[in-house]
Amino acid sequence: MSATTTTAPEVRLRGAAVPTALTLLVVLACWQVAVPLLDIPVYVLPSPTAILAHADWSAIVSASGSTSVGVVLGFVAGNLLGFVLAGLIAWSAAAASVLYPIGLSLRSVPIIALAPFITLAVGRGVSATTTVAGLIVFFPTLVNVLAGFRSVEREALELMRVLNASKRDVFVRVQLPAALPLFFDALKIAAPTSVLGVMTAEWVIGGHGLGQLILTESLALNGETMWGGIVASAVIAGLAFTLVSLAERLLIPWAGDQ
Amino acid sequence: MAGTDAIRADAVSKTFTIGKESFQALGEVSLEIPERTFATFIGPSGCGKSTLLRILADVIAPTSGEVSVFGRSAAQAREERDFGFVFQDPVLLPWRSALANVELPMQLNGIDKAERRARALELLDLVGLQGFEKALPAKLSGGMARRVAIARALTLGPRVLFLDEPFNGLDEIRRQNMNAELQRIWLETRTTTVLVTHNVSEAVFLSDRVFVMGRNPGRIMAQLEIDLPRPRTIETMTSPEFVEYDRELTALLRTAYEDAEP
Repeated sequence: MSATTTTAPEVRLRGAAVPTALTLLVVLACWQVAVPLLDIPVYVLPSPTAILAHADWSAIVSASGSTSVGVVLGFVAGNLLGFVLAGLIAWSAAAASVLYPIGLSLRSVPIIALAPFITLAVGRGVSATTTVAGLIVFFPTLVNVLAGFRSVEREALELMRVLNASKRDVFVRVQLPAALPLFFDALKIAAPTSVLGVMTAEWVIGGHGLGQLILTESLALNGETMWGGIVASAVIAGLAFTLVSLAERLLIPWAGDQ
Repeated sequence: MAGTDAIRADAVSKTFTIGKESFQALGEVSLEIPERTFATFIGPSGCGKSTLLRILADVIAPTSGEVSVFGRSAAQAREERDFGFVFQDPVLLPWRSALANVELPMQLNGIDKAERRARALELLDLVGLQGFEKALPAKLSGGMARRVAIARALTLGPRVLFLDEPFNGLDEIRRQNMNAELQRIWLETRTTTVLVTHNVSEAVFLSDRVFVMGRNPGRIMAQLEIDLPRPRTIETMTSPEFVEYDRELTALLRTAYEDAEP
């Protein structure tokens, strides 16, 4: 016997896709039937087919593009910040005593409270939405990655000592890879959170994204386009999560077998 | 097998302090282990045998006393990468294949890729793992993972090999097989080896010299030379000499237990 084969990621994905699609279809069907049955006004909740037919899709696509840019930039910036801070904190006790309180206090301020300051500092638009998303995302990543760096078994560190490994070698060859599974967990949390951050910013600060679109369309009692925007935001969050999961399986296949 | 001492410990003690509590793990321990000897520490849990092993390998520092390894301090010997260490848990890096795990010490030592690959393959062969080079640790059985850990400990041709209950958790037959393999490897390399175990027949089977340890505080209570011809086999284990050593060591160990539990 040699190393056995594992189920390929695509097979596992396809296996999960069938029940997921079925569930989605059932929910959509119930929704479609319930709306006329319960006599729900169209500006509150239109049926799926009505949304598909009457929503202003070109406006939704354009708003989705704007939101996506903020999501991607905020996701990258926030996770990079969280990862680097965690690395510095794990590397040096001195850095930890300075950076951890800063991170914690930055996290403690409700993001809404900072919104006016962010507008004044970086202006409106993508720079503002990116900043808000990044600030929401960085702290869970910091906490997770730090736990990852510290998850190394005592004996693994003793082994590195017997081998007279440098601090840099211990960090690069043991701690860093050991932190990757928790880093990917953090990225999966960050993917939808990043969408939330951008849309919150669009809602409070303004801009051309989905947050703004949903707000204005709801005020105009335009239920179809409002709901189109809601669906689009869910699709963006789901897509981001799926991409992170795929990247995880490709980049750290060893973690799934632990 | 006589010759110079590979390891000498003079009045080595260790006290652990956690908060306000302090606990003496080792009293004053002195011992000599000659070059090319297979030595074993056996004793009840809590007798400080793993602590003593870690002090000899300079993984932890003693509270007092001195250790010399081939005439230098243990720290110097470690820094010159004289040691191989196998832990209770195989501690393989899960993202590295069996081969890459064995290569790790050489990689840290700056040995070039071709050379370390060749040497790692040779060692995997020595521990009977040909064909599993590419396997990730998660795909290896407990016994196979332990073989990889032994191969890794041998890569730099250590002058002293430390084994901290390396076959803990394997069933009796697998343990016997691993012991036979360990003896074969030892006969090929004749590396000075220090083993920690609580298994009497394992100690008799493998050792030239057994140190029986007691606790409160940890100390060496007796020393027994095992003078059985090598290679020792499963048949050796039923010979009258082996049985007598087994009985004698059990009696010494029993005293160590009684002493610790008044």
